[in-house]
Amino acid sequence: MDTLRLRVACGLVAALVLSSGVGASAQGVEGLLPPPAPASYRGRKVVIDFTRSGPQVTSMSILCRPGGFERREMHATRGILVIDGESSWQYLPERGVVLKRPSKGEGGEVMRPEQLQQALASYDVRVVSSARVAGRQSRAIEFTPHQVGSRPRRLVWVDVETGLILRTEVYGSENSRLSWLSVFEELEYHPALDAAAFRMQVPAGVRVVESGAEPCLEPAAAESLAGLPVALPDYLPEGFVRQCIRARRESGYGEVQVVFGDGLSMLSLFESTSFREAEQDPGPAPPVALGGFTGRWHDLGRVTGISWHAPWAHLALLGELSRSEMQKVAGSVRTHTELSAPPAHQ
Amino acid sequence: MNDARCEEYHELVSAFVDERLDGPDLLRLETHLEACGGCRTFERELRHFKELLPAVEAFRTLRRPPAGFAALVAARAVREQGALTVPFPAARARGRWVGMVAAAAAAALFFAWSWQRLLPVGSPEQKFAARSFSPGVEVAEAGSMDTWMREHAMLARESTLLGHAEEAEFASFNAGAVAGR
Amino acid sequence: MSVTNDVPGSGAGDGERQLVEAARRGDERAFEALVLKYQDRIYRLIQRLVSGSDVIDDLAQEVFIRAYRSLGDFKGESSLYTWLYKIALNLCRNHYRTRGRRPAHEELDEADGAVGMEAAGGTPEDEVFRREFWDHLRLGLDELPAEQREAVVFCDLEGMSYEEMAGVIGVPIGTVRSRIFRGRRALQERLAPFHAARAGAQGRAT
Repeated sequence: MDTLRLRVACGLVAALVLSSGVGASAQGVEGLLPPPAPASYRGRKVVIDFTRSGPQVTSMSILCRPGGFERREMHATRGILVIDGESSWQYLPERGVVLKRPSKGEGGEVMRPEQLQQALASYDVRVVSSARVAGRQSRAIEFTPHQVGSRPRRLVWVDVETGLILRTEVYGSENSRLSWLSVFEELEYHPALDAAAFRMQVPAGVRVVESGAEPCLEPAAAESLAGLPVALPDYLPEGFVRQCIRARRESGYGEVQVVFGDGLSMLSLFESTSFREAEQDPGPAPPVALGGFTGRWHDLGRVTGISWHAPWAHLALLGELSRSEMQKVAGSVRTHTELSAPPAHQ
Repeated sequence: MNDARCEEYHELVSAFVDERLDGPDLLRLETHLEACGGCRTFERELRHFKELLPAVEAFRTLRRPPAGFAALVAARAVREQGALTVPFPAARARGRWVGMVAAAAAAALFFAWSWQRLLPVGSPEQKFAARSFSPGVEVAEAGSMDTWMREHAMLARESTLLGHAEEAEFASFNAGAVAGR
Repeated sequence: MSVTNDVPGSGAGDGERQLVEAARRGDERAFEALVLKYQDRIYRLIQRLVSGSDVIDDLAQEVFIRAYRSLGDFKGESSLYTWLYKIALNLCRNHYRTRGRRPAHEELDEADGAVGMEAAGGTPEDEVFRREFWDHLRLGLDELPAEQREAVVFCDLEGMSYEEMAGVIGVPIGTVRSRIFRGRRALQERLAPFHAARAGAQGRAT
């Protein structure tokens, strides 16, 4: 399986000392030091989402312990994330739901060497400056896509000692404007930790939506499970690889999600037979030509979406790409009938 | 209005906003503004921006000269042939520069415009509000693609804020279940 | 909204002339009084033109040292303030020429002064937002070509008129106007995400 899963390990140290002090070679990230002892930390982070209708500022508290333990609390919504070494729990109070999924060794925000390695395939990576962020000496690394304007440019400030990502700036692909900013306002390493912090208390009356060990499937297996053909794009922007295929079958419908990534930017293709009929009225969303079909644009802030109807399912592509790249990917999506053997039974 | 033509008016708008336009240029611009919504918007935004700069700065404490600066400099200036190197005092006073009136005006201006400070994401009022990412898109009936898209995107966004990429992916895939379908 | 509390040139009356005369004769106290009068404005101007807290004090000192040295050349055709302004501008220009282009984001330095919250109130998130807004404005100013940065600082932060600017910078008014426009346009683009308004909100009648 050529899936490349991105995993981040809490507190795993990845001090980035890129060779020649400026750029990283395509062969490998020379000078990437092996991690010393992982560090636990407590902090407060602020995120500014620069939406079209105005900046939205959110703050959250974060607690992290090596071994994949994490707790985050959003101040405004009281949303809580707990990663307890086995599972990741997301409590979304206003929806009255907890999302639970298996999670091992994840948590924390560190740039892993393999993530950096993958990014090198499609980004120019440069150390651009040093700065102090949250009282820590940090190095700013800029990721500029080779295909200029195809996907967001990013700046990431990394703690030179621990490798923790202290600050992130994301600049939109279409207009190069700042679209997302997150930064630690307070940060303390090796805080006193209470083990209870890393246990999720599910409030009474809250629904838990859980998946079992949700494997990443091969296309043929996904087709069998979901009961619909898995469609894949022939075209992907430089550096994007397929990372995971999920599938489910509920009473009456099947759904498939194919996840792609380039190390930094996300792209997902959804297929679903859950819509009982094609829409009569396409609504106000503007159309986009996709070769054989006409789809529709959805401007969802940082993410752009294209939806369209195929004979076998309704499809949607969501991603952080420019419109022209999204259109190219969507236009190249087709079923690969060679993927699956004829089903043994319905 | 033609965008290329409007470019040449933009510089006039800049001078207009500074009250530095008169005579035939002023007449030309005013005539154009009556007809061109794009340039009227540009003018509005430029006025806003011109007021914005000092308002933003007003909340940033600019450094004031340290106590004793004048005496120090005068002494050094008069004795500049001399051997004395007069060091700065170690503690630097960081007083607020902004005068009270300027600060109050800046505060009023600052809070008068722009963003809602902390719109709670996903609050009940928000859930399927028209504020969402496609301005003008009506809330569609359950089962339609628009709703589906919005659910997925909003949930993915909340998850991205709360967690990591994996959380967002997982949430996206389970948006239907979250919405109770 | 003009930020300067004094129009350049005001306050230059007999009192100031006498101080200048005395300072020319080596009267340290007189010169000190002149420094005291203009030190705040010079400090502000330097901080607006030049980023990097490490150099402000040195540059400010240098402005007044130079002023003292060339006090004999000051004939009173312009106001003392305009004359000091030109000295400050020249020193700042020398500074950013010799320093070269700093890499972007090097100014994310918490040592660069605290946000004055007392005047505003607001949540910690507001404070972060304002700081980020300022930091990006500062970056935007730094990245402008020097003459556009000067034009925007003089016009929109120092509140100078086109004539005053033409006098200080030494270029025609048409050039002043063009530089202001181009500087504002570049900054507006960079700062647009920070003040994107909701449709219909904050609409101003035109």
